[in-house]
Amino acid sequence: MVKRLSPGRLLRTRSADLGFRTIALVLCGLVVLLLVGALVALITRTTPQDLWDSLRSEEIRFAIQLSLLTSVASTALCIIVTVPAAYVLTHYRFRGRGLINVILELPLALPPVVAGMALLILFGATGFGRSLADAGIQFVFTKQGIILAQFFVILPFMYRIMKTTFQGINPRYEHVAKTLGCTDLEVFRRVTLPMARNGLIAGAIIAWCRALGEFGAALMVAGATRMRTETLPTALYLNMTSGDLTLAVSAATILIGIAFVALLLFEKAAGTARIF
Amino acid sequence: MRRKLILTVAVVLAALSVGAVAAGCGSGADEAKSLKVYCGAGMKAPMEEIGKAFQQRYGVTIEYNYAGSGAQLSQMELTRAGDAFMPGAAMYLDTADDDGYVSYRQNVAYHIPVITVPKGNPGNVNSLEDLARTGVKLVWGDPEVAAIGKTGVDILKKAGIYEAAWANVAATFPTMNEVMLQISLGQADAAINWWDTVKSDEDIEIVQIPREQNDIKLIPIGALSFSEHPETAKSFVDFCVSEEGKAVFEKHGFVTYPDPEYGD
Repeated sequence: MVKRLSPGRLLRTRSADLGFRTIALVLCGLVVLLLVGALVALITRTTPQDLWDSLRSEEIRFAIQLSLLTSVASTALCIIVTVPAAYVLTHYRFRGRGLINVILELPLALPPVVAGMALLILFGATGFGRSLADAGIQFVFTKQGIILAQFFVILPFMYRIMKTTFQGINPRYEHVAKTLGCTDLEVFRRVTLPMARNGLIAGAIIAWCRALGEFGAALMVAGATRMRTETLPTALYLNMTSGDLTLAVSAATILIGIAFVALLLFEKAAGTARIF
Repeated sequence: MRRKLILTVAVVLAALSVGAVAAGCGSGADEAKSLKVYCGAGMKAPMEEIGKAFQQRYGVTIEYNYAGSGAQLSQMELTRAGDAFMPGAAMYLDTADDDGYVSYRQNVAYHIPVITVPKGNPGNVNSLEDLARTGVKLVWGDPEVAAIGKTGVDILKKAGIYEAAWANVAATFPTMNEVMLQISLGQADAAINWWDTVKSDEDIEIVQIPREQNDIKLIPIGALSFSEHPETAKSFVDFCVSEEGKAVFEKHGFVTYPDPEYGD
């Protein structure tokens, strides 16, 4: 790819190449226009003053706080679980490895609403869920329910990134460390994890972004109760539906802003990481 | 080679989609091939059937949009497109009417609020007053989003038990479908919902609200003023309130308008 862009190559462009290049550029430009156009149309739907006022409204402030709290919590939980899981599945061979791999990636293909319904039934309508609730661990209609739903939805993204990251590390480094007398844990801590740093950061950012935008699964488990289980996407949906476009647009603007910053960070960190 | 193939596919897809959009815009004004109808989710079953019958009779396809009534108002405001509107409560058609969007309207059926409880009635809810009893767990439609949420709140206020009952609400949801799901899964003791939508659900039991305490709504349908096919839109509205249309609604558990028991 890099070679193609070198000046020497560009000078020797043939007319056939030019046609191909033009078509590709035009298509690329159209897509960029579509994305930018949609975002600008959304943000400019209201005046800056209205936007600022609604950003400071109690409802949006609550939604920002709840969104940050739940998404950070679910991302942290997700890291704690997926890093060892991806490590085990890339470093050890055992029966059922392929099956576990498929199961861990299954939520990727599952519509969030289906995930939400499954969680609602497991934690609400089964003996398991009822005994948890009796022990004081409530997920249905609570903020914990939002974290649970986000965790479920972002798990496969984080898992995939960690898996490809671990697979991309040359096992020779780990072997050398072992020959120098390191235990598995020491190898993991001093070789594998530091080398997986970029992948870990990229995975965490993507997972966090997905958690921030999660709506369908959380709606089923936690409801969309104003000022109680109202995250930013919930606020967006509720206000859009009740016709309060200004509040809806301000929630959307915040989400777009966060996504933009997060993706810039992701691009920086993702040098060595790949999602698929 | 592969690159060329991918590019060709992309170009063909782009051309096709542009062509499809252009074709959609170019349909003639007088000869309607299809109508776009905004319809409340609660009327989906009868309206699908009516749409099919209308197509057989007049050769016009009905395309339904089943978002929440409030969301549909936003869509109308933003796009000025569509031919007819059938919201879950007359209030929404009134709003559209006030904005000058409605050219012709009729009443189709009654929307009757009832108390719904999970099978076996675990919360022992037998009257409206029981909703205010301490310890009863309720789920509700969001009062600003779902017609049933607002109507339910009005019923509580009329009975003077709004504060106590609202304190029992564990969660609210954007549409009556989610409320119904939570009740049928037994996640809450009771909710207020439309009778016709819960009638056929075997996991839900129904407690009627006495006529004088209740707030019964009319389901209307209106032809939209910005319709490109006003004649066809009007005949679709008339078809919905014809004997044939009403029979379909009755088959799906609705009480059709007018009925001496419920009046206007």
